[in-house]
Amino acid sequence: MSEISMPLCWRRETKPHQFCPGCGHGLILKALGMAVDRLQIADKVLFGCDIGCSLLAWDFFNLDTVRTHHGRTVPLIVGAKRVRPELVGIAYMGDGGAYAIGAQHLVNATMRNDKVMVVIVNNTTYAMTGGQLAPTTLPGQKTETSPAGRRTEREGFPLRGPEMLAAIAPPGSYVARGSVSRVRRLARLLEKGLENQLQGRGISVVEALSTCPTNWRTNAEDTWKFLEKEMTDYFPLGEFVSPHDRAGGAPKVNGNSRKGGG
Amino acid sequence: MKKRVGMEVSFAAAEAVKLCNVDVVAAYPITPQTHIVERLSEYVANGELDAEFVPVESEHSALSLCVGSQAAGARSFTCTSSQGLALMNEIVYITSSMRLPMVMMLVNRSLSGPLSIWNDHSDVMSIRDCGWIQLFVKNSQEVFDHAFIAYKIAEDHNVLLPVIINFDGFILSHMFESVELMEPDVVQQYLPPYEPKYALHPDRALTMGTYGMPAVFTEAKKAQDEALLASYPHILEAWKAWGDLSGRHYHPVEEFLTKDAETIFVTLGSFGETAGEAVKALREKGHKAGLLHLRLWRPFPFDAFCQAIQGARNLIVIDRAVSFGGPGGPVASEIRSALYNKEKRPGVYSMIAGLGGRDVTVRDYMQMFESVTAGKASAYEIFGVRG
Repeated sequence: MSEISMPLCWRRETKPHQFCPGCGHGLILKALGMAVDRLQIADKVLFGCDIGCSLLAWDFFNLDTVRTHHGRTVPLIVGAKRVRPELVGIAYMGDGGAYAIGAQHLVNATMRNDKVMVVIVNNTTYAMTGGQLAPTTLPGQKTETSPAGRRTEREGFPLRGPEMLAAIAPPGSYVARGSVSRVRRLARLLEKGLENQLQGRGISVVEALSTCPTNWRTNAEDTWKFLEKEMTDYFPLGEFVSPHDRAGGAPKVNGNSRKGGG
Repeated sequence: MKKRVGMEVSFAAAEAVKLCNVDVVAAYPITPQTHIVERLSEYVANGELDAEFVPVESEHSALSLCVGSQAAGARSFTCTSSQGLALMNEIVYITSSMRLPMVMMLVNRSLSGPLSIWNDHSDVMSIRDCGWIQLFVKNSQEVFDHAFIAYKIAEDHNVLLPVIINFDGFILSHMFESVELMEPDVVQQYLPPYEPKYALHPDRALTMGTYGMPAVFTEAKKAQDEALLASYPHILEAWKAWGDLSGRHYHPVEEFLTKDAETIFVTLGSFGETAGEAVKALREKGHKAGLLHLRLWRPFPFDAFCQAIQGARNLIVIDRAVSFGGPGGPVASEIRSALYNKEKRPGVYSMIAGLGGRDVTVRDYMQMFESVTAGKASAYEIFGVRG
């Protein structure tokens, strides 16, 4: 990567970065860097990273950075944001941190519509620990703890995080899914998420589909195929609309259902 | 003919858990525990082990699930390290107070922060008072053997307490060592199928996890403490029976050249093996050095310990965790307290060493020995701090 193409907020002396060859983190952090540059908010950002491969972003940026423990980055950033509302809080984490061990935080921060942005890297596995079954592992996908492939009758179906959060997202929230296969588009989604926070509207959650050739044990071609075909088929890209923001407003609740009695 | 093979210690651990014929394995990935659980998931997938394997969403859930499965009468197993144990903490106390005889392997790793995946004992020392039986093993064979021994102890109707097998992350878990495997029928002879004394069963309803009003809470805690102390002879029995069967005999404290020793190192876990080399080297130079490996940490084997160190002038207690703001390392402080009422007691030197994966070499042990015997060591120090 040439000097010129690095986002300004990247910390140059920590490059080349420590992620594996072919890993999507570099691209997502590039998209995030581009979004921060475009909005010129580097002096306002609090960047939090989680446990798992996302922790390797701890010295990635020239941004105020804090790293906590697995799944806990969301409440940490919420805490910082509550006392410094003028700042821009970003929680950067993997799908295991967000949807498994830290799911309660993500759901509750969304319910409260905390004015932070959560960036979730979905690579369908726990990569840092060597590739175990994650909430996002696709049906039939082999991992170190699903050697015969994910069996949906035992382990259920992969979680579509943004869709789940969109279902409970309050008015003003922003929920989207991008992919490292479309970095400029991903940068735009992240920028919109940040704008949403800057405008004080509500929580922003952006999932980024990512690659993990190390644990998928795929070559470049198969890595891209898995991302573009299998992952993108199951995890559709786009922006998700909260029920409150749909035409017709919030979902109607039938307050008289008991009286009706069937 | 007994089969001796070389394998990664984590795989030896998984092999032993398979031979225990556990019914439930629930775990969440955390380094350096992962290889054990991965191997168990393979055994379940290929039909070698008929068990429920549940890749749960956190360690808190892993232990909670095992509490449920064990309460329902199933032999349950989990395995974790470091932050995983920290997240389990709440349920660790629940498990022992519910007297559920499950087994956990704790592949010791530092607690954050700074973040470290490397080995020390800060994880286990955070649950020192949790009411589980706690063992420290130091090589592959001990890891392998103690899977059976741990269930044997736990499920003894005179014990009914959960057991933690501690072994060092990476410096033991990821080593390749030789291990003598056991035939399944021999294991089954030692460890028959689990017969719960109490299990949740709708036909014979009972309550587990009761509410303790002030009028009974103290009594409940006293009963729990007594149960843990009373497990001691049954632990010895389980070791004896295993020794008779396998020829490998284990004791709460393992002594190496302690009989006439003036200065004795006290270690937990794999550090005992290196310290043993240091003791040999010191003996060659004519120094009266000895080593005591503390295999049983809870219940603390006070009598066996005091017996073993009789006649010693100095104890160098190696602690691999810091008790911040306290009087010394957690193990050293306990030993001091155990010896306080003795008329004749050695000097206890608390040396914190080997934190976060720092090697402690034979030379380091010799240096500790030198500073203690020359009267230069303080009662408590963090050994080998640079700068």
